[in-house]
Amino acid sequence: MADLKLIIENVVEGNVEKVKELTKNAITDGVDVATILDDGLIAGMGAIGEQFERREAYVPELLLSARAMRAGMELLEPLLVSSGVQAKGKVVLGTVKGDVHNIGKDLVGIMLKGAGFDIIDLGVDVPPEKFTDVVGEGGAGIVGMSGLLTTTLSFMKTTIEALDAAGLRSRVKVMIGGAVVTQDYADRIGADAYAANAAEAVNKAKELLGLEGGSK
Amino acid sequence: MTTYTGKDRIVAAVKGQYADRVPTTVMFGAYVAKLAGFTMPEFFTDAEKHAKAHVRAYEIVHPDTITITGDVYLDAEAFGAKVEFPEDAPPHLVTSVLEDKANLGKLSVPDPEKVSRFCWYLEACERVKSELKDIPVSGGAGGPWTLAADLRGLERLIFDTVDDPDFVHELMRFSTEWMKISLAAIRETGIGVGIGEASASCSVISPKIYRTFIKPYHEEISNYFKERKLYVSLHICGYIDPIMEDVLETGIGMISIDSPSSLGRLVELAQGKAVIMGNVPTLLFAEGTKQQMEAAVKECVDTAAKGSKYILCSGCDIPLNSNREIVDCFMEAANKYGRYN
Repeated sequence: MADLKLIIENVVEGNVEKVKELTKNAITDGVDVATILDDGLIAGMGAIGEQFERREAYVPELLLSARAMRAGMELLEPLLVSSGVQAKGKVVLGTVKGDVHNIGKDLVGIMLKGAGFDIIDLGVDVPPEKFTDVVGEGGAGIVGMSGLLTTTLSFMKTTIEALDAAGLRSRVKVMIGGAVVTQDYADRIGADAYAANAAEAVNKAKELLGLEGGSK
Repeated sequence: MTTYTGKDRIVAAVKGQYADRVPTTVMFGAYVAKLAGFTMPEFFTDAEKHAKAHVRAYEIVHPDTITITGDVYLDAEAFGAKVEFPEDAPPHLVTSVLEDKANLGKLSVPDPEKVSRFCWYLEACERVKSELKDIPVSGGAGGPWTLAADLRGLERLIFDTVDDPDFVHELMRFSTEWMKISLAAIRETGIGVGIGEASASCSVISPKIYRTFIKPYHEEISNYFKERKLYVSLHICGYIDPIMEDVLETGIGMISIDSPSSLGRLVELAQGKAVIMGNVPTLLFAEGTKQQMEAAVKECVDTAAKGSKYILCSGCDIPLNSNREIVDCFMEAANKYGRYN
């Protein structure tokens, strides 16, 4: 199992080439694909996420680790598809209207995808009606909104109200995050969950859908 | 009884002296357009309306100083980045000019007076300056790192710091040149200048990136204007506790911090060497109660006002949907709790 530990270390270091090489080796050695993913790549992101929570790592380190993780995942994805693993649930993600910051949202997307969720990424500057349209098409279990600007944060509330007005609010759980968002804010606007970072977003998503490994 | 103007209060704070109370202002952002009843595109393209909105905000709120809101993409736009003007939100950036790094060689630093939207801003600055005589007025748009990030894309720029550090320095030298000449042009209108780094906090970058790729350029800008006998202010959004010592070392004379950062820590580290502004949580202006606002003002004053060298302010631009009653409450609380004793 030494290889998986090395994968974790190199995901933490953000070393793309090394992660690719180690992932390839693990596949060739016949290590179970889900094991490489969970105990190697995702565990690596979990480790950097913990450093982030302790403020020993910052967003750039998370980005570099995510890039390395993604490089490994690209090698695993074809194998995961052919092994017929079921998605854990569908998450609609977007940065709210008026805000074009993508980094936090992208990190959450990568982590959720790694954890086995289907992701519909609506991008940045997403108006409330776009969220309601996509939720209206069905299948989504969670709406995730990101926001980094205090000036446009209120669109989170507007989006929740729009879901309500369209009669869709009860169909989905709403999860929010971003540098200026707090648990208190989530409570006030009636969001179902707040995640302080991408690693926590995965736990919260699992919790919201009542899956194993949720944060309670 | 002496009647103090905003200018008196600010000058006292800069000199480490005391007027009747702590100088107080709000980073209004585009909220001034709401106060004056202008749409976002009107406000961001019509210099007369832009100026009128700031004057109106002064008449209504009576801050001790006012910063003329640019828009954060004004600098990037001067290099050909495309900016959109939505009806109900501030402008936003549509394209990254330097998606391909090779394009940096093709860019040149323009004359600010020949960039149409920058001229819009300069005209607005002139107009506000001529109307508001009793308070210091300042302006500025972004900072060198924020411009670099808007040209290249923040995520790409962060990867570049690892994959191609030489390119990052080249881009930072380039954006620093623009900062110097664009701030000098703003200064020419008779107002003070500041840089605003929306993308330089430890909410988005690391202390290592600040020290290696940003600090030297902040220092350069600070020194450039010091040689011209002028203080530049610096606002950084978000959390900056891990880089406070570094920011102080740049020699920048006025530092404005956001609510995630520790005001007490900065005051302690600065030891009166820089004037500090901040950091009432911006969300309170839209969604807080009067009690919460009063408590936040009191806390800032208790933390930072004792040694002078402090300006009470919102942590960042206040939300577009800010509540007029709470904005008034902020100023009332400053009057009530901001007395030096």
